[in-house]
Amino acid sequence: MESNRGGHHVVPKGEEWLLKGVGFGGFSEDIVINKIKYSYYNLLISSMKRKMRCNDKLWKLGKEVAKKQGRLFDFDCAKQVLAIDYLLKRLDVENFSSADINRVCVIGDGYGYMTSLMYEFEPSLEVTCVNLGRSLIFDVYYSTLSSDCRVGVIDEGGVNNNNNNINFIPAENYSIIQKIKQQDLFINIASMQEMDLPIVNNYLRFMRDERHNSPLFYCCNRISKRLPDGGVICFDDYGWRADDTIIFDELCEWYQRYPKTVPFGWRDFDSPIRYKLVYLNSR
Amino acid sequence: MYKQSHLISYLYDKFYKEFDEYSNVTSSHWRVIGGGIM
Repeated sequence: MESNRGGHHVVPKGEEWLLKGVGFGGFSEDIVINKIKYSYYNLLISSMKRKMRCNDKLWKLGKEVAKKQGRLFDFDCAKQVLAIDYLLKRLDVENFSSADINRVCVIGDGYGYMTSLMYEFEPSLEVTCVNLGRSLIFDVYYSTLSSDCRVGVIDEGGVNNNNNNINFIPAENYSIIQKIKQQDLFINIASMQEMDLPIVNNYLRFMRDERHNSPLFYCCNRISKRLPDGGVICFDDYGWRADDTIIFDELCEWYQRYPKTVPFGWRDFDSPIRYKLVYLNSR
Repeated sequence: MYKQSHLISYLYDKFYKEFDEYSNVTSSHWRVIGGGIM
């Protein structure tokens, strides 16, 4: 079986850690040569903000989080800022707590960017980040670079998430999301499309928390994608129910193409990407 | 920073030292980049 899970390189060095990842989201180090290399690319990123009329403060915050993480504000960052901006607009609120959203669970982050951005945007939120164990180490490392807050790992052995601002859960024990505090909003951007369908179905089953009538789920993934083992994962098969309440279900306006430096310009993804905001009926 | 280091150590021990190529929640193998250091 060929790997497309991505590459991970984590090496302890004294009290520090050397981390390098490939294939689970973009990450361009904030160094001079990359700033030069990506100077034109930034024009494309800025055009996303103008086109989507993104909130200035949120866009600026997105750049600050990237800076603290030692990365350039790239396409991966921009699309997550736009996701938050769009969610707030469609919920018609200025912050999440105004929509009774106090706990947010990010499934499959990458370098802890969305996790940290959520917390920095609204520090009263409790944020939970679920990711594959090998990738989760990157989420912990980078989100704690940009956010000075109480953090913890929830794993088998205990689900006592003691009022941490950010909790991390290894996806190898993803059933734990049934046992942690009720989550008000789940976010998944471009990682369910990498999972086997039974796993995705389990996630949706676990999200449908009987303690919580209807958690929100923001799902942004390819309409269909062929997995390395030859299987095809389809958005429509994720485990939706007819009695779910859909807020929107569309093609994601800012996520159908990606910027390239050489040759300069936009390139289409190989399959359309859809996003959906839905109240998952738990009864 | 202590807490961060503590968490990273925990995850490193579990998913890098003792963990093999498989994860039961992905259909793919893991790759290690950079060659042989671990």
